[in-house]
Amino acid sequence: MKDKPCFILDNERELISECISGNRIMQNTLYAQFASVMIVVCLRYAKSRSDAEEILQEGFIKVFTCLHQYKFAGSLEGWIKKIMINCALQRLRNKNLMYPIVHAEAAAEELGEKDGILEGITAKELILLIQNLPNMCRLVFNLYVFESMKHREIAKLLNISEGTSKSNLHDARILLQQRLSKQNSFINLNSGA
Amino acid sequence: MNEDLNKMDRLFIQLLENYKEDPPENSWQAIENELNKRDAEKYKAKYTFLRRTFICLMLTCACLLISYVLQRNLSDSVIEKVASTKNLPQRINDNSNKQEQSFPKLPDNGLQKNSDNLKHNHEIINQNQNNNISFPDLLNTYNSDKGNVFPSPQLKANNSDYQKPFIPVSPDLLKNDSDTNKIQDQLSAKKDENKTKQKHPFFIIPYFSFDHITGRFHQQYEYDNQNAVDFASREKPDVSYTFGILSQYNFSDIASVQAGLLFSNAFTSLSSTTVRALQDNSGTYKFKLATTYGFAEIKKSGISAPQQGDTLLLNNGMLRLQSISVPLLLKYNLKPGKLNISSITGVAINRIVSDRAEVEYTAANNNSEKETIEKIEGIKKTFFTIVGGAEATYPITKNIIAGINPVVRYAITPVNKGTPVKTFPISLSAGASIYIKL
Repeated sequence: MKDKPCFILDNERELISECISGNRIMQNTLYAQFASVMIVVCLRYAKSRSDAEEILQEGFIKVFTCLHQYKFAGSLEGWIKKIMINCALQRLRNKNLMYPIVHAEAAAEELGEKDGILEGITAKELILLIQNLPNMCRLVFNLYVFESMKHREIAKLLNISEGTSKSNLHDARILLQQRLSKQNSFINLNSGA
Repeated sequence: MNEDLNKMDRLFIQLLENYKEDPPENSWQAIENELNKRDAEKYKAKYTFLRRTFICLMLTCACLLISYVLQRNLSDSVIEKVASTKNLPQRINDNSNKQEQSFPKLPDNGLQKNSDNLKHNHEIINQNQNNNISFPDLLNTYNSDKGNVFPSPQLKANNSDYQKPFIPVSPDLLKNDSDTNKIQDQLSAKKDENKTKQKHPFFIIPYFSFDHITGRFHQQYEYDNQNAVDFASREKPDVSYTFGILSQYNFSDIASVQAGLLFSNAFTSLSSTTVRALQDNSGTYKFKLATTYGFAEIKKSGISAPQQGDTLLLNNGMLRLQSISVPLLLKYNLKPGKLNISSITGVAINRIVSDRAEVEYTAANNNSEKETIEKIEGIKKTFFTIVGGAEATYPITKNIIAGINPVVRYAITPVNKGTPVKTFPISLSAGASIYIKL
């Protein structure tokens, strides 16, 4: 990580103000600082790597065009992350991919047919597992587990009921568990814990 | 079981929370290209606005210059005419010789000043000539004291930096008392006429125009993978019209102000397109036709509850916007005469009173259906326009004047809000008006 920014300004405000004024070098600096973290966020929300890359690009364009709206209320990383998540959700909404009905059992079978993630669990493989979840399950799982959102908040964000949110989370966990149970890593985890 | 699930959550968090990956190599290049493109569009829009403003200013300046030159030429011709009929220059020269004899010699700058005053006085004579006061009338006022040269109060009023004495005029200019009386009569008659004119500075103007309404579009976001160009390409401006009543108040012979109430009907035809059922914020699938004005929801599609993937074929449609406009216009007379040519500039506040979409589509049962949608989502009720144009008027009778006027109404605020495209309507009008003198 790998890519260090061209040069780092101590003052984040100065970096942001330079980015707002359209300084491409500073924008590149900001991009280099956060892209490696944000690509992982995008990968978790997207269906595939190419989708994630598109979300990353859209997200950063939005970041640079809306940076003047950042009020320094929270961390810049958190703000950018929120934009990436919104971009991912918007993309799914636009493509009408958010609400297909998928049964956990069927999805589990689908997952079972895929190879290449059985040898030892790595972060990349976990991402792959998440990407292979049904869209809504993936969104709810990400929002609940990684963003620590409550079901009420998830329901509001995704325009679904709290019950649906809980159900989707349950489905996601079952699907992941089924997949992981086929690996020693999960057994080790159980015994280790 | 729950404990296992929580452990699994923790496993994911542990492994992924601080996990980083290299971003794609060409990603920054793509972002930079897109940012450059957007910047270019922004500058282009700004430049276009500045260019238009500059052109408007240049046109206004050119109009004022032409007007000034025309008036100047008119004044010069009047001077020549008056001079030739009354032999003014010779007499003035004669009198200046006399002045030189009877007054102490002035220094050069004094002479210059005197010459300037003389020139200025010519202008005042011209002004009076323009106001239909003949030169003899003017001289009469000069010579009311039988030889003592004092300008009239009217002249004093017009000449703020008046210095006396600046034109020595011989009483010999007037032949006899009968001439003086005649001239005085003429003067009083002219004054009366001017007074009559001043009593009627108001006009009522019934107005009608055919409009061609286009617009400039600022894209806010893409809807159903369609952008502003896609929306605009399936819309075609139809013949629209505006009618109403204006009133005019003349400040002077060249400047007047107009205000009133106009009612506009703007029509836009829609060509064939496919409308997909898309989810709104409440999660319900709806057929929403996206237009440059906003969304028109098609409800009677024959499908009670549209689902994902449902589509509707729109055969044709028509958007109709009705608005009331209150303009405040400044009219400047560029070419006074029987055929009057004026420039018009001003602003107008517009209030949309009705927004309607009439659509014809192929429903689920393959039958062609028509539907009138009474509300276009996203329409903002009030918007402002700037108005610019020209007008040619010709008197038909003593109290009625006919006019034709090409006018551009350029919206400076959008007619919609929260829609994929912000629309600023531009209306090109060819209008006719009848001026009725009150």
